Amino acid sequence: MLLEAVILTCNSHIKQDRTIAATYHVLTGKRSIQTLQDAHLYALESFFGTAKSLDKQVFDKKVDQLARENLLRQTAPSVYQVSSQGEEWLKHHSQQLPMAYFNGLACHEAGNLFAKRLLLLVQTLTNSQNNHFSFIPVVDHQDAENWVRQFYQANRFQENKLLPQLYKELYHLLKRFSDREAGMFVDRLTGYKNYGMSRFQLAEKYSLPEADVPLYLLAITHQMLTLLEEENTKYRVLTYIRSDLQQSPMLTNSAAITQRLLHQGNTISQIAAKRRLKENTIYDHVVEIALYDANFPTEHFMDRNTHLEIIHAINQKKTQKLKQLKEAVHDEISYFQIRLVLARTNRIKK
Amino acid sequence: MTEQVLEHQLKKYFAYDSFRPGQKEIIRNVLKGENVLGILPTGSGKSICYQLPARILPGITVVVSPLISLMMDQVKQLRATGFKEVVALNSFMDPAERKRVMNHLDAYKLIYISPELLQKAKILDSFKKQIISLLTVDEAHCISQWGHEFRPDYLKLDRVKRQLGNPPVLALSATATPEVQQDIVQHLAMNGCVRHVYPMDRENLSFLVQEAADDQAKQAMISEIAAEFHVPILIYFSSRNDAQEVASALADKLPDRRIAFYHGGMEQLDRISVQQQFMNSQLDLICCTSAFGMGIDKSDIRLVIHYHLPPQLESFIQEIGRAGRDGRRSVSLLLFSPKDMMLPKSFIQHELPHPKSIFTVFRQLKELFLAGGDLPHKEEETAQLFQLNEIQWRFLRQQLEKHGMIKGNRIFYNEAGWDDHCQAIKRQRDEREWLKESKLREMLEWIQEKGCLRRNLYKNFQASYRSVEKQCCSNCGFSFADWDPQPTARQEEASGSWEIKLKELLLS
Repeated sequence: MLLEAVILTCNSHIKQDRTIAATYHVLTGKRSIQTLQDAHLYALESFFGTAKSLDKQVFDKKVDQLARENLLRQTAPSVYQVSSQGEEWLKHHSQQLPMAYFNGLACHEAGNLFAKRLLLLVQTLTNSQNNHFSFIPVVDHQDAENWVRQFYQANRFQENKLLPQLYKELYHLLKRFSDREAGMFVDRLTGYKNYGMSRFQLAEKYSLPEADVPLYLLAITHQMLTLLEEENTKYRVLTYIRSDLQQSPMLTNSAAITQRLLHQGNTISQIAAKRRLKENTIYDHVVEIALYDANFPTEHFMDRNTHLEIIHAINQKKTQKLKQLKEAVHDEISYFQIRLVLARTNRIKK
Repeated sequence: MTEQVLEHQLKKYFAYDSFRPGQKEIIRNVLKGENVLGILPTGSGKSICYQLPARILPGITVVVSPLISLMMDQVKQLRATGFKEVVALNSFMDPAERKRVMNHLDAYKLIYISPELLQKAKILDSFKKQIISLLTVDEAHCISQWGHEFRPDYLKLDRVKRQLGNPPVLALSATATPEVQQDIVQHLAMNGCVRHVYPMDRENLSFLVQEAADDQAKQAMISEIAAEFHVPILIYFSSRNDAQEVASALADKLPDRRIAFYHGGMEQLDRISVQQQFMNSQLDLICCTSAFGMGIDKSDIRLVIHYHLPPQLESFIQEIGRAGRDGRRSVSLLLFSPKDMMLPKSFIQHELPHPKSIFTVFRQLKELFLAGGDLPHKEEETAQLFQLNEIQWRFLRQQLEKHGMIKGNRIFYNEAGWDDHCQAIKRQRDEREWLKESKLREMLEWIQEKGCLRRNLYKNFQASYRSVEKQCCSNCGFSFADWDPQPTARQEEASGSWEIKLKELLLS
């Protein structure tokens, strides 16, 4: 049910501006400028990358099913609208679902790593507490492994204080969740001679569809990070686990290089030439940078009148659709300039 | 090295008190620098035969293994025991990580590598600069066209061996008929090879073959058996979907049994969890594909059931070999329904290119050559280009390379030999198909066998077998009524609140 709710919510934000593929890309966290921009434009940041391993076929099947159940209505090829029945369904079910926990874009990488480190740390500490050092780690991830190793080396001498402290913190943190959510989290943990449940086993125990389990676990992780941010003094160990994890969204690599070259004073065409990329690609990067950079100098790319004209068109047409906006402004104004203004206004709105 | 010293090393490095049959004999020859062929049944600890030498020999021990998941499992287990100078190189590795390892090869004592990777010129060059004390070829039957898992990449290992300066070779396999053994020794030019061939028949296994009308009947039988015998059970399936579906059907029917499934398509964390839960007796029954069990050493599996017919006796023997490693009486049950007879046939078709597509590929290659093109760099793309699956393309690529028609991704067109090559490859394909079909026929003959199942199971692999007086097989009168295994101790199910569970997990 969680997966359905997430798909419906995304689609209800996007309305009919985009095909259903846009929702899929937001959910799988596609690192393209278009998808990042969609996430900002339609206020779907919290859902960005929340279903990273969602299979396209599974997604398509879900959409078909939602359409059959009349929660989605197809209005054009690949374009869907949430029906009034669908809106009703969302309102009715959202309350029992952890929708508000999601913090996808901000926790994109951090959430994943935090969960892995925590799982491995619990397994390591509980095993070493029992003088058992040859266990198979449940998490096979280089960074998590390195981190736990360093942490363990540095804190070896207060080992017997660590577990009680971690227990206390987890207990208090989990008290902020429903019993069901806390149960799911605890069942996933692996300790000494006690391996945690697989997602299928969790699905069984909590009567959930299989596809919902990773979403629940991720939602819980995101909410944990949010709570830790708010009350970091209460949770020393847990806060330390996430302390070096970046919680701000990152530019795509390629856009980051463009940003550096921009700062060095290069023009768009110079950058394109240097990087052997098309100018349009560089324009895409600039729009992406504009989404994140609070001090982005819009005035470098258009004069004041152009800026005002585009804003006027946005307000008057009450749309975010590029084509309609392009038709509403002077011919000399480019798509790039319109996108740039859209990116900035959406930034400010928040 | 004296026996005592060896045993001391075994204890020190692996915490075992004594060697299992065959290990010490093989290791002694390996340490003398001799070429050794070791045929040891599944579950007899083949890997110790190179893992212990790897710790003792001065240079690097290279292990060629086709099974990536097995490599990774072993590396994990070795690291867990404190042997850190171990690494597995394969094509799924992060390129940066692989580069880092390649630049520090001499930091390792034991390196697992996939056969295709070891042939890459760049990688081979790095290995050439190192002292290689031992080249181990695991699953060595893959080298033989007569083997059930022939892998073309293995055929080039003789060249690899020469390029590495002819280090001593240890070839290991669990299932190799005498013909296959001969192929291995010859192909790897193992001069003066010492052979250690151990019988694979297991006295503590009882065999049951039972026909069932359909899937429903199979499931009814299984749930009845699992309800009666509360012991660790492994059920093998030929498809992931079936493993998953039957697992949930059984879970419904047997609410007091802890049941899970396992296959290669699962996320890693889930795979490790399920595998370790079973090892740890947190699970009673696993529905799995052949991906499960490699490198797992659970000694008290009492019952191995085959829900589908395996494509050949070799894999069947390997899979039932996971039962009863502690020496206690255990059972293999093979179920088959009339429609199962067709299933392995479609697998064979899946693994070989259709004769027509061979012809099409030849035409496409010629056109591509005349247009001055190359093949795509990625194997998947090439396979797609020719509308073959990757297994089919792997077969064809090896054939095309053999005839000098392609090298890397370059095409070499030579009008004179073109049609001959096409015919030769088609013949090869037909031969493979014939071989696989005859393997399947052996399997089918075995399940329809009226005589002793034990005798007939092993007859192609070894000259004799140890006969068993009681509880031999269904044809000798054995049935579940004669079986009385010790049931799994009932464990208190931790059914308390999450608060209690968290406390138990972290503070006890």
